[in-house]
Amino acid sequence: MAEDETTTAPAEGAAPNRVALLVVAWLWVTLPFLYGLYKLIMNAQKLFQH
Amino acid sequence: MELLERSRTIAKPGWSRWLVPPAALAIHLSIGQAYAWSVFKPPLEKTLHISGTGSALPFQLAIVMLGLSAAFGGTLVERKGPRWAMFVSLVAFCSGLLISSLGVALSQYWIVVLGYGFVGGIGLGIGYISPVSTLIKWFPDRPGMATGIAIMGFGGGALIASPWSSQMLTSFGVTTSGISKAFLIHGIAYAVFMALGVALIRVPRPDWRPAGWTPDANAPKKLVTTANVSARNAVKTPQFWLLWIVLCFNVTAGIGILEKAAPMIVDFFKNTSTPVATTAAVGFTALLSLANMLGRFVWSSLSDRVGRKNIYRFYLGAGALLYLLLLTAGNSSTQLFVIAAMAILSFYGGGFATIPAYLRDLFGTFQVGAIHGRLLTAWSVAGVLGPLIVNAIADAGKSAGHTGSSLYTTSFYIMIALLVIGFVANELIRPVSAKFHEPATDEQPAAENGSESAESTVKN
Repeated sequence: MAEDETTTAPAEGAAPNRVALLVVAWLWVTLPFLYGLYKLIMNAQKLFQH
Repeated sequence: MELLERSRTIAKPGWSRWLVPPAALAIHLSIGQAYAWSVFKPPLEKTLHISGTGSALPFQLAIVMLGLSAAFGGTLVERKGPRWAMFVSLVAFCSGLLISSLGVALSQYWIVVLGYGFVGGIGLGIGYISPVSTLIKWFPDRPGMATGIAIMGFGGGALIASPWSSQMLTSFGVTTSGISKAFLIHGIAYAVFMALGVALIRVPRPDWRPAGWTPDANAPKKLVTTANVSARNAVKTPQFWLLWIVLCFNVTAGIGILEKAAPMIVDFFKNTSTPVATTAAVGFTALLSLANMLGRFVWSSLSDRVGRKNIYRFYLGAGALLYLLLLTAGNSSTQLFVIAAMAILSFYGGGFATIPAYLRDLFGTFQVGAIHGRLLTAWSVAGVLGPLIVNAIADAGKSAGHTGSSLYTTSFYIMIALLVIGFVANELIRPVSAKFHEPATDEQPAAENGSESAESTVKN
């Protein structure tokens, strides 16, 4: 998340720290997604089981 | 309700643009549940005594409503803003699930059709287009990647919902009470999950740009305009209809395989030394879902580097060649068949995810969400066309006594022809005539900054 990712140039120095919010937001969507991906990979393995 | 207005969602200084993709994903991962509707079909058929056609009705109506609400609600979504749209999507989609819960509890199937199909379908359409133009405005330097993340979420939604819903039905039991409870919990859980998107979404200030990026930076290499075209004018341009053909035929080619994946691989290898069992075919379907989802992110992100026109040349051209490969050598190797089908499905997903960025390139950011909504009617047509071609030809072949891969030969030739037509349509796309451009205003900084007409600023 480089410096160009925040909204403003004028108040760059005063910009609040959004790291915690970023972590929570990304975990919110990533964790269910990883659960789904894990289940999908388990299913996909059936193609190679004889 | 004022909190939902566009004016209340303008990002304050310090807001990270990387908070916008999770907001979009919270919506798309939820509404993507629609692709997992098949989990509910057998339990509904058993408990409410309905046919397979009947149990498909809520899903079919939901997809029709998706197309209609995206097409007709697009302009409203642009005007009211993404938070309003996400909230409407949350209310409609989750209400649809709650109404379905009531319908099953009362053993009134028409209530399920009305709830999930009609009300929930509106949530799908508004939710699908809700983050698109906002993401493009936050990521003008990487629009393909940004929309790719969100639209990958729509594919990913089924990955989450499918095992989750199955587990819930197993736990609660396949009874009207059990199914009703499952719908109820879905409605509540998705409302909580989607609320993050409503709360997090922000639009950038009109004059905001990523540091070090200027609107003209990409123009010398790509088909990118700095002007803006309204949704009403966009549908009058040949570019819109050429893109409509491109999307429709690219989707038709992918959905033809996706919809019939499991029986197709079983049929293909039926008369060979390496037959594929029905249980193994489930794995094939899962791999196609994975390819569909990854294609949305990978190819769409790549389009930021190679250009939108080039990536569609790849989707359509390579797609046609892969179908040819399936025709000539399809049942000689299971691995070859699986890899070729996965590649075709990755182009299918990529086609969906790249289209908003292509629209942005051609029509600007002004009403790109509304234009995208209108273009999604191509999806509705393809959703009928693809399965119709493959199923009708395979059924006719079976009636005539054919078996094995020959059941799909004619379908695959048709898919190649459609992809070639799509390829030609893509080749015919040129910059939009300046007569369709909006006059420059303070609300349209891109147009304001562009001093030349599209014809003079764009290159392919």
